[in-house]
Amino acid sequence: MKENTPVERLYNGILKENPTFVLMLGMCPTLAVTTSAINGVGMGLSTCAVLMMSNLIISILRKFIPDKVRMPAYIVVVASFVTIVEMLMQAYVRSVYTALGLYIPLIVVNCIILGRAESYASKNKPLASFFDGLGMGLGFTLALTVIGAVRELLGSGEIFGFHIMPESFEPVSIMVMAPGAFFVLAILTALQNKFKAPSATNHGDKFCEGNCASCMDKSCKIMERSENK
Amino acid sequence: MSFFSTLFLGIISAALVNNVVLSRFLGLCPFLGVSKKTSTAVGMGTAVIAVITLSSAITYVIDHVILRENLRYLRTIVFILIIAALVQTVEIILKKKIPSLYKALGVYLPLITTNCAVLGVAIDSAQKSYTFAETMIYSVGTAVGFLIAIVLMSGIRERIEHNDIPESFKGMPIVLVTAGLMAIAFFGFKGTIGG
Amino acid sequence: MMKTIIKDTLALVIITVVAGLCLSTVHELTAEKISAAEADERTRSYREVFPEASDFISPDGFGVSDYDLSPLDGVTVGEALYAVDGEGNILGCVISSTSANGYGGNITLSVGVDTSTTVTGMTVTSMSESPGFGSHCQDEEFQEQFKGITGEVKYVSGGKSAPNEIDMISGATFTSSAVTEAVNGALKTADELCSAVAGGSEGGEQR
Repeated sequence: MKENTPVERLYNGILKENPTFVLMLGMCPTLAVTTSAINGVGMGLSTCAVLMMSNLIISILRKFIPDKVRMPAYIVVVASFVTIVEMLMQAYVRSVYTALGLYIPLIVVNCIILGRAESYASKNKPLASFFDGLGMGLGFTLALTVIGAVRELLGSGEIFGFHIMPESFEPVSIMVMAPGAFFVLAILTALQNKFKAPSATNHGDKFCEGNCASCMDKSCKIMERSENK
Repeated sequence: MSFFSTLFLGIISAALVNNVVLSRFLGLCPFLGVSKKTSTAVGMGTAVIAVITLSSAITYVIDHVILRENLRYLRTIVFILIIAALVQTVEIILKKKIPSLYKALGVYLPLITTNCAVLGVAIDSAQKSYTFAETMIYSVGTAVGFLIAIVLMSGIRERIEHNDIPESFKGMPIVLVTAGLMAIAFFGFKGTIGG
Repeated sequence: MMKTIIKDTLALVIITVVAGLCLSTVHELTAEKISAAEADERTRSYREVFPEASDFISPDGFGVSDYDLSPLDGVTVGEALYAVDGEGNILGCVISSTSANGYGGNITLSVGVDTSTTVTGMTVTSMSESPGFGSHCQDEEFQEQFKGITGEVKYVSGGKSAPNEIDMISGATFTSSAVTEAVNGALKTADELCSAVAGGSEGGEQR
């Protein structure tokens, strides 16, 4: 597939470098809001919207933003879009807004967004960056929905609020509570290890060693270096 | 309730009952990423306490003096910029004035800007319209909770290292399982405060 | 050196100013819609809990902070309105009260109370309780129980026996207790508001 075309970017974001399953970025919202599939969809789509727009704008401005102050500049752009999304949700989709609560403003510090800005949008053309954001966003949405659906199914026997499991099924309540989030993700990554699926956990050096701390560390080191110049 | 019992209960509630990492999933990235060794975990935890306390105090003042009702919608953008600027300033000051402390904490400081616990605490206490005292109790409690969680985690991880773990669970999965078990343990604190 | 600092700062300032302008534009555009949506949401829940009323008016002389809710700890009243019929006669009141003691933090509910301090209905308007447990406080079945209750509500497990008791949500003690105390807070408030009417003067001169 040709690089940096819209289709290639979508494929890359949704499957090849899925932000949750492969890159293991943005763990906080992944675990916090996936108590049900619908919450996963809501969080995923809001992040997707922010990711698309911030990638587009940062890519357009990539020549204008001075290298030294690019982190604060990215933060301003991302935070603006997060606030816009928050206001729109408050006005038009209130139920989702109340369900996600504090985690909406926290999209700002989701490492996927700053990570994509730094590693993709700052180096590529606007169209490709836009589709990179869309692909990553959809990949994130997909991952959150799947995790949410698994947790909801096991934890309360429902998916999207519809009863699926037979009456005799006793819900494993721990799954929708905090520990369940960790367990579901643990089993998921264990399966990836088992089948040698590409993931940050078994391709440590290629990706970010499974945590955004190290990922951000790289960009921070670049920041430091440019400051010391 | 007397002042001290409020203070005590507030800190216990924020640190243990509603632990940031284990029940609210804030600050998960450093919790998973910087918990390989106890010494680094202690460093990260201490740096987080310093930054959360300072940033909550500053954001509270800014929120009440500049933003108030009319500019409330600028909260997110202003808070994150304050945190980013604060982290940079603290880093520069430490580097110049207290090099020994900088050596111990310096490497963790840049990572804290994107620690969602810091922004989370600031926005949460603003949204819940806490008073200044409540904000401070809440933020110190939360930060202490983070320190407790990350230090415990690093202790466990140091021990796990030499154990015989199933092949596919090596690395991240076993850490996540551990975190899940810790979360269950922290569940026990629920109900210790209030009926 | 100096020149790059100025240039960098300028670029950052421009970006921030443009971002700020965009935000304030969006804010202008959505502010009305947001407050309308909020008000609409509340009125809808008030209608649900007090179907006979045709309008809701705010009482004179009562500020939200005036209500004495002690000894209920962590319960606050967000809004309390008189429920009136088409001719403006006061039928009772609707109250939006919040308990901070839920398992997942705040639980806010709307309660309708008629002049004889009987609950006409209760709806949980916002909560973040655990799905499958505390979240059942939004079920019709649970909320229906509050209808017709007079006096302090108690939650019991294993079958209610007295008229002022409700069956708790199984496995969710915190939620049940928080909802109950928020309803009790609303009843207390309603009692104050309605006794002001019964005393002959609308709007309440004394408490």
